[in-house]
Amino acid sequence: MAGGQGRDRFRERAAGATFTATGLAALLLGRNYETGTLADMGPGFFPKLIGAALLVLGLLIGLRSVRFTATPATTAAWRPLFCISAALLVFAAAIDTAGLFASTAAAVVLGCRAQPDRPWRETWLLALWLAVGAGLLFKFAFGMPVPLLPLAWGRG
Amino acid sequence: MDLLSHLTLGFSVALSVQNLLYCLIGALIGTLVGVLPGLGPVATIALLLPLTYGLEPASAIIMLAGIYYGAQYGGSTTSILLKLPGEVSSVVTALDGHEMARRGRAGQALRVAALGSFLAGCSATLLVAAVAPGLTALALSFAPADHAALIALGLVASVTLARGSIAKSVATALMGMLFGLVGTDLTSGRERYAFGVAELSDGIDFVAVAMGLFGVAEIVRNLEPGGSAGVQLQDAGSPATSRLSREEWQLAWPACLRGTALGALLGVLPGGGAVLGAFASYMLEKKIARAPERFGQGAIEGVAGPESANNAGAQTAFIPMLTLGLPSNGVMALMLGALTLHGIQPGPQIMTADPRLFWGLVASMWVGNVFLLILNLPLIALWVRLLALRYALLYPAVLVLCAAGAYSVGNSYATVIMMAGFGLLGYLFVRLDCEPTPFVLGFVLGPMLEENLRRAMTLSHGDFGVFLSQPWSATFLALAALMLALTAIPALARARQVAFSEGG
Repeated sequence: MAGGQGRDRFRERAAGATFTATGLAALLLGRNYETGTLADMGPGFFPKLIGAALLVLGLLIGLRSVRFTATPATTAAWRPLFCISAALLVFAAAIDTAGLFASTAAAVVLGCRAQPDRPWRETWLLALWLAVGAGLLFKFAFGMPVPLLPLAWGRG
Repeated sequence: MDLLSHLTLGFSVALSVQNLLYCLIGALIGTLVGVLPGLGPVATIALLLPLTYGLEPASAIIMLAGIYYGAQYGGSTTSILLKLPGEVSSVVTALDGHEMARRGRAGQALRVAALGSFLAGCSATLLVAAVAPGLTALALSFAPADHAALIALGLVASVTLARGSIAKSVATALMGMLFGLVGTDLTSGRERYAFGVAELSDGIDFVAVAMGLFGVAEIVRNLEPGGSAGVQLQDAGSPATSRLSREEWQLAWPACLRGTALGALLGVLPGGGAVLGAFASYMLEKKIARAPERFGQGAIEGVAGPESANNAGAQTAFIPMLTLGLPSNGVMALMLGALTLHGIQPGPQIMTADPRLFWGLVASMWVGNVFLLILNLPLIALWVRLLALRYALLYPAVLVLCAAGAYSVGNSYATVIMMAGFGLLGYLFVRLDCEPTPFVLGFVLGPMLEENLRRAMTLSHGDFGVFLSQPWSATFLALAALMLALTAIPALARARQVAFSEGG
């Protein structure tokens, strides 16, 4: 993690914008929650209070960013971010129908694509080992009620 | 004697075969995962949280605590052998510990770290047992306004005493609070920010937040170009266990005692936990040493003091969490989350409502330290071999652990999707240079703050003056204001930045 010193102007501004946007979203999405009174707060009081505070704080952080200079940005890990998220979403989508083995293997293969130049042989082996390992750990050691194999196979 | 009967009860729980086993497994897995590159204590606990799901609450929390000490200990091992501190609190250990290892005295460094940690752990456990009942009684007398003010103080302290920009940390905590509000409002029964999604009506699962922010986001961060995925194994030195000479021992044990005292005191502070103690102890040892120039060149006190402080602080950090329901750092927020997962309302009533859990946990701290002492010295060679594991092979396993772990919590794919979402948010935090810990604290504390604020305002008929007219509440708020004001003083702000920027 970058240290406290040498804060980057762009990064501070982006952080401020993120916070302001979140605060604004909280206010807009929660606009219909009853505010109530001070003595009898409704479900909307606290969210609106926090949302407004976040909005203002985000603006302050954004304004303060002029104090900092722009530093050369490091490259974001776009590819890993995409591959890891995709792996999790595929796992989530597949687990109930395709079973633990197949969805684990699929997640591992996708996750490994975060490093594009790794050998495929290693990827396949990892997928196999981790699928077996996840099956042993979660199905047999922890008794997770999840099918190991695709549902269709069990029925057919 | 009350203390004695409490501890007897605690040990009767902690020494049951089943709980001994969970404590042992926890300490082992914790060390194992803590030693692995790229996984500190918080990430370790977040990853292993689902595995404790099926256990009964006391066993689950005992195992998690074991994981915590294990991971903490694993961090010191890697900082001594490889100068790879898994966490900020073991950064200081790396300074002289690794120097000792480079001079072929890795065995002594590891041994003194283990003995210091054990000594500190034992004393801190006693302190927890001695202080907890009094603090609990005090906390039980708090009115809602006092609780609300205390939570505010805890949040302020945890952002000012931890690293990172204060404004951004406060904003991150507020953001966490908003996410903590998702679900059904208990007072009015109204759904908030759930958008009719059934999976959200009970609130966002804590496991999804913790694993996403600390597990998934960490993987992506480590895979950044130039990230720690490319870390190479450095000269490990000889980990052969070797005895301490008489002179070394004479230098080490007073340092252990001083470190324990400092660490135990500073560990109670929110935000500090183990970190402040380790830093303070290193400074102190360097200041009072007869030959300060030895520091940074393998001074044994530079390992003994901070390691004891670090472990004592890790233990006493439980005090505010268990007695006041106030998590003082990320690890404690995870512990608190784990308690709520098991349907236990955190706060001062734990001790009276669930004495077996409370005292069992306290006793298990001691048991865990014994396990670490007898297990780790013989197993060091194994831990070192683990370090050679390439991250390219490790992270797919972590990914699977996250995915299947999140699924196993409620046997629902929705938890996995939410975790992926929090992974994205966590990586956004990394890119924006924001700490994820305040978010988790806000997530856990937000609903409690709201509840107490509402009750306080109802009791006072809408008069904000109640926060200033009640002595405890006024004290807490004054302290919070003071801490914020102090950080505005340029010299102190700079000192704070220096102290926390070494985390790397």
